[in-house]
Amino acid sequence: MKRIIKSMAVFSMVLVTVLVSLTGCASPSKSVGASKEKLKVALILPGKKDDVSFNQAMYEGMTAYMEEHEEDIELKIVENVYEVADIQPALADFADQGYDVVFGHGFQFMEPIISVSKKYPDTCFLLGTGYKFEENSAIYDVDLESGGYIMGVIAALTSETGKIGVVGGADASEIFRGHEGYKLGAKSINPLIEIQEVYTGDWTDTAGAYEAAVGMYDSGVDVIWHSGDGIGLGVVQAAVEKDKYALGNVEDQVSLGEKNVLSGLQYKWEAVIAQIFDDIKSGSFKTLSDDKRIYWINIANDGLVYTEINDPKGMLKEEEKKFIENTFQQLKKGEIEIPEITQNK
Amino acid sequence: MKTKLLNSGKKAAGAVAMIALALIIGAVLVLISGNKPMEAYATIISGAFGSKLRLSELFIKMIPLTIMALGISIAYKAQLWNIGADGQFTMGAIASAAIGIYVELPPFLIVPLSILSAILAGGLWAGLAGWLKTKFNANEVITTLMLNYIATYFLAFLVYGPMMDPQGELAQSEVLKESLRIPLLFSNYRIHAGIVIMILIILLMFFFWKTPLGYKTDLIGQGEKVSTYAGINVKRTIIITMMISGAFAGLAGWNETYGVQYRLLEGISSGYGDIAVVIALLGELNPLGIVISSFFFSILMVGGSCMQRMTNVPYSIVDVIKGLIIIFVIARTAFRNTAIKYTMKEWIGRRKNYAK
Repeated sequence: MKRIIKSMAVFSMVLVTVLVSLTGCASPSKSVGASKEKLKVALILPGKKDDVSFNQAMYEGMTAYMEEHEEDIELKIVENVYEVADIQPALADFADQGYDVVFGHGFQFMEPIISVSKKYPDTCFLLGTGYKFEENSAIYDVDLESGGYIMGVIAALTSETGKIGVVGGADASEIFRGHEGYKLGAKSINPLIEIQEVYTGDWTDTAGAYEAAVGMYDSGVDVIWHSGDGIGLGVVQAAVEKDKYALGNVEDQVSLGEKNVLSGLQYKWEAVIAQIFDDIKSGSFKTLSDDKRIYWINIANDGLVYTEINDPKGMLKEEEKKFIENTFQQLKKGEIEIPEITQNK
Repeated sequence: MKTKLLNSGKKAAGAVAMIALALIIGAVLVLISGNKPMEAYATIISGAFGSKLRLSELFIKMIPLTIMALGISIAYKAQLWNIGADGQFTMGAIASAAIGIYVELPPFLIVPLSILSAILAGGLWAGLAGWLKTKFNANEVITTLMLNYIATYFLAFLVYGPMMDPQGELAQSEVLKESLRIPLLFSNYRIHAGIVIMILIILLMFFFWKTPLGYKTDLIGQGEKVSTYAGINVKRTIIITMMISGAFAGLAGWNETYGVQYRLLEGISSGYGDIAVVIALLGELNPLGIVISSFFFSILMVGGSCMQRMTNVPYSIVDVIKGLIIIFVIARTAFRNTAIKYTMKEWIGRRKNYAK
């Protein structure tokens, strides 16, 4: 019994010491003259940096920017921070360690960034897609309608059956706009084209997307564009099995099906990364007006490109390829007007 | 007293040896992966103690782990192998979150009500397994494990369906009102007043084994026949023991919902239940041992994620170390198992007989 009381006393003493040391100083203050030192930047990825999709695109965009700015930026990249319980500690730890900029690459980082950014007003936070922000945080997102438009043009020109398809994940903002852009693009080529559309409702539903794509191909569709992560793999898999064409998204996906991935959109986040860092360095980041708090990548700012046409079946003629490139250039110059797309929910 | 001290010294030495062995094997793996083991372990230590924030995160992990492991130890003392702490935790989180979100009462009533509901939900979930054992002789290892799955999918159903936050698209409930949350100890860190509850429970556990109920539980662990002779209602005690064990996990679920996440979300249990089992066994079901091993595992987890962030060593190394400790703990338990010893003795005896 004595032993128990003794050990309990020791334990509570340790605990008290720890708690007292915690109270020591409340807010971690950073040195003011840090601007001449390297900017400390952390990028937190929810998946692997070589996922041929969402994470890889950001990884490549970031490293591309880094190569040109190695002398004034120090970058730390973490992969696979996916569990809800891990996100907030990871964000807070970087901020606490004095990192100046922290990127949370994904929608699920939104709430944690909101709560952490309040506690660390000196750190800038960037959220990959979403809609909420604080004074010291902003969002980078993709303006998918113009990209969808060019995909629609490619699909309509390629299709011999007059039937094309599109498979998306959740029926959420940017994906919805991409799909509408796709329909507009396709109809600009052939107003009577039949467009089949499926939302699987889930980004990771590879099997559901595969089933949807197989159904489309079986009904005579010969080109499908997909607009998401895991579902993209399902669509490409179906294309390979049915030996039809698929159009990719986010990252160059030709490696997934060399005979069946016709082209695809590639996100070039570096188009806005430079702008983000310029704003942070100049100090204007925290005073941005609300409408400028979302950095959009689009065709006009080279943030969206289509990957080189890969047409082993020879379904596209030379002049059609030229037409595609022309359309792309027109979109870039803003010569094709896409009506504003709003989603009625 | 002296032999007791010697005994616990032996037990502690065994635990330390197991941890050391796991760390050595982990170091070899770090070396193979092309990194420096000393650097990796140093990052784990600095990742757990290096700043106030990290220290705060350490206790954020330690609170639920300790509470759950202590609850598990009660069942294990009675030889009831409750491995369903995860599910009991989840049910506690669900019940308390539902109270916090849907019941319109002043906070001073809601908070105790939510605690009570969490304890009840966790207790009943474990009690169900206990009842199945007494009624149908269903093995509690299987039933508690299966109940884990039911709880996990029930939670998923709720956060994707009826309890989903109407303002978002994520699998989570709406957020709890600020007046209901467990107060933070320091405004900048997540460490909250739930630590007081953990300390109270630790203190309580030191005395639990001296109470009549603790004594009965212990006796059931010695064997059903003995307990029946001693005049104990075995069936009732089994169910009550399971319920107490589950109540602890349910309380930990309340703590996580009201102190850390402030809402219900998918995967809220984060696999704490499984680690708590290892902690209870590594701590030899002794309250002090459990507190120490839970502290150790919290260091591993918090420091491990920091190691992944700051070095190129993957977090999987931490999982390997955890896994090794589990294997060692099981191996030791198996070796110590009297049943095995007896069969060995019998077998040797028979061999001797044949030899004659």
